[in-house]
Amino acid sequence: MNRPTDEEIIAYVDDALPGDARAAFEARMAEDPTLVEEVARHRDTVAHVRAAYPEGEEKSFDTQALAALGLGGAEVVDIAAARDMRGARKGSRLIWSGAIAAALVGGILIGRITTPTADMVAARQGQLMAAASLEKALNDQPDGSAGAITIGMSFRTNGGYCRTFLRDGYAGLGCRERGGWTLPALVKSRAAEPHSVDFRLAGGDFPPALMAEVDARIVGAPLSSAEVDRARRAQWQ
Amino acid sequence: MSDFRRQLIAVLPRLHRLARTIVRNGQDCDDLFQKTIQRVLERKAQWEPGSRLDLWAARIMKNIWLDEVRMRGRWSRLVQPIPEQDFLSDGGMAAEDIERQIEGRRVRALTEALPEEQRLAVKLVLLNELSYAEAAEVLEIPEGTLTSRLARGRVALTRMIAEGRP
Repeated sequence: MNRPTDEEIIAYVDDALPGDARAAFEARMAEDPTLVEEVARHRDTVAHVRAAYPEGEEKSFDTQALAALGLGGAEVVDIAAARDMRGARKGSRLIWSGAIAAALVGGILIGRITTPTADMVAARQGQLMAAASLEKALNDQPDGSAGAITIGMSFRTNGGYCRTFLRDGYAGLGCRERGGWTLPALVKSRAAEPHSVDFRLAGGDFPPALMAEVDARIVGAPLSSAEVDRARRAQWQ
Repeated sequence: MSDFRRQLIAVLPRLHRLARTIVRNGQDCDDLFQKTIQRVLERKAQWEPGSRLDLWAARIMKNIWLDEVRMRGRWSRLVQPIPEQDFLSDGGMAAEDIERQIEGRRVRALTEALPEEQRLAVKLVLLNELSYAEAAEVLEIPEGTLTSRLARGRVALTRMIAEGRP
């Protein structure tokens, strides 16, 4: 008799073998102690995986939750309207610093520049720059440090350094230029809002639009924490 | 209330649980869940009454997820792994509870590191308790392909779990 395949062993452990195949498998086990051990190891894996992912409470859906999903009591559900609302809430609205945006995406017209938070940015010679608390955070905070401003990662570009950050519902990119930090990209994103799970996981979860900007500039790998520390002490020169 | 909507509401908890299974460990599953419901409502004319609404919706969820995975794949070299909580506090916990937590974290890391097709097969069957036929239907693959992915994932996990033991 051939030794059962991995598929058969797994199906036996999962109780997914049809009756006759199951009986044949058990007959085989009676003769082969190594097969018994293998089944035991696979059962152990199942127990480990299930224990590693506690079930948690089942989510319940009250009237409000149903309405938010477009499943409210009203018979007519306007999906387009629901989607617009959702887009507005979640939206990744790109706000660009004019000159750089033109250089980057030439030809594509991007909406007017809005200043998100006065104590975070300043305009200097038509350029959006980090100011006050944001400038300080970009200068001083290590990667992954969370506070009012969270710094994501730092990396080298052809001309210097850039760092990603999150603050007050914005995810952005700061690049060291002209003795300060220019802001070539700022993205309004739910992911950057405090209290969202994404925010707590901020090390990795920046909006794709911002990651595209990083991708376009990065030279080599992101800086290690030691490299960040050296760059910081050298004032990002 | 339409029959479709009533049936969909009845399977929402199951779909939410599925979203928790499909996303990578620690990620926000609500976004995947909401996108799925939105698309289900948009496409409800395509659903065949009498067929399993939960499996149909689950396929839609799987496709949204795989699109997302492909999109994120482009930046994957820039994205650090999602951190688990950085430290464990004993918080009065017994030593064996701490050990259990550490082991749970290790097993999650190993499971999440499986190739995506194996990861989905393993998690759908072990954590969502879908039958092989149901899991194959959700993943839109023949049952033989499902069992092969499942076996490869489980054999790899069993080996890795044993290797890391003291």
